[in-house]
Amino acid sequence: MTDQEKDLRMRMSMLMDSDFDGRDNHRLIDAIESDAELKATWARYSQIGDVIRSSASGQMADKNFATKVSAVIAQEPTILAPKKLKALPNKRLSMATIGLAASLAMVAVIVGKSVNDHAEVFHTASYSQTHSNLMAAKYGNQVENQADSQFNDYLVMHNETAYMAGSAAMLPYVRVVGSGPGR
Amino acid sequence: MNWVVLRLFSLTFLALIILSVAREGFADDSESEAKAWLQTARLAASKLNYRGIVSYMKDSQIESLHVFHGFSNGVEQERLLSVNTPMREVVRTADKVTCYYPDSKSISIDSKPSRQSMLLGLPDDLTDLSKHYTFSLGEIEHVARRPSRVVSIQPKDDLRYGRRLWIDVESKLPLKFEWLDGKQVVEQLVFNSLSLEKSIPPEELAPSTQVDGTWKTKQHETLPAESLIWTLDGVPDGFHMVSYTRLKRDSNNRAIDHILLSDGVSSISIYIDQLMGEIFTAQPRKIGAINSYTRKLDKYLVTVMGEAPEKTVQIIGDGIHLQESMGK
Repeated sequence: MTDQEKDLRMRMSMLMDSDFDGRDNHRLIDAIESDAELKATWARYSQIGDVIRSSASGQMADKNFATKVSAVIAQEPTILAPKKLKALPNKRLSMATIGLAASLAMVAVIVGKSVNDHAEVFHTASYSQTHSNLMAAKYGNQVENQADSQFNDYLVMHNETAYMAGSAAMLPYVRVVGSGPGR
Repeated sequence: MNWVVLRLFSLTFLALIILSVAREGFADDSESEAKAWLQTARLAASKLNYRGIVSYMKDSQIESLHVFHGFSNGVEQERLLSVNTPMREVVRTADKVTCYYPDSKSISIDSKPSRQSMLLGLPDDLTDLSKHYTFSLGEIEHVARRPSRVVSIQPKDDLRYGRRLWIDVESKLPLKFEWLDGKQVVEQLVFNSLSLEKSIPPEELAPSTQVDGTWKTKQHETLPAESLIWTLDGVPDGFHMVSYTRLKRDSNNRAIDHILLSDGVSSISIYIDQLMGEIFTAQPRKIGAINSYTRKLDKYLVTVMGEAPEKTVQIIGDGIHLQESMGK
């Protein structure tokens, strides 16, 4: 695997985990949509992510699934210290650390044994979700950024005018001068 | 025997009445005294010359701010600025308040500043506030090694937050302030250092932010209350409309209606914006003492935020409707 491919896959896993900073999201998503191999990789990441997070759709495809996951993991670049581009309020498992997560395949086996009866459901749910995940990644960040920008604007305006309202507070302008609302 | 029992019963009854009246009297005295401390603190914050460093704590963040206040020839001037990035600054002169935002290269100017000091915001008349808040005097505690009188403002319902102030016994300046959700402190301000001066040099009261031609000024226009096209059905008792403004945003001057409500202690803003696209983020948010609630209303996005519990902003948000005469 070339360095470029390794970089691309790392960016894909970060995008899936919403750790990507969004500047090149469109380019990356377009690349995934137009390349069958990348699409398949994205789908694999979805499966692996589902299993790791033990989400509702994270049911086992077949008895050899854990072996396949291990094989896929073995092909992935080992990223010892991925750069965190954006802090998230909810600490979700980072797909970027997937190279270190071979042991999780064992967890997948244990989880999988109890849900093997629903093998077909996993494929259907996961693949149908792949497209929606892509769309959510594509438009979700835009909406979130826009909502944040609007919200910050409202907050600043409120903090400016709270003083005019004669609210009982020490330094009513403190929130204006403070370093911002955070999230 | 019956006579003795009757006398004891009468005496007990009388004592209970006296105690009850006395307690009410003490409560009234304490409330009046607490309000007197607040009024004196407001006066001190306006008339004294001082500079200091204040720590502001909310959630897990701590900010350091510099405060300068001058009073000369009957005119107040103030400056508040953050020590760290993004180095925002607020300057108040006799006729305007200017906010500088270096992070967005924008300024906001209000040409009708309130008559009160930026150090302590309080309504002119505290009498009406007793319907929804209880004012009480606490013990003497030390802030920055200075003896300070504690004054509490407690809400009488669960739709408002409480406040607690520590007022310097000597100078009467407020040294510490807390916003309270029940007993929990949601925001706090405290002076780390404070020095009283005979005067503050003009350069310390002048803005330090350099503004050039690339900066933009935020636009807004004040609208008469009669032009309000929204009905507000869920506003809790005690809150009234303070202002109605229309903000202009973006290059196409997108209009956002801003309605400011206050009960004299807490302020709440209502924003009615155009809904951009079908997707929007509707989630309650809490930042320090500020709660916000967002919902979709036809083709509008309604956001309510203020220093009040989540329940209050939600009630107000759900009670907003477009006036029927305006159609949809």
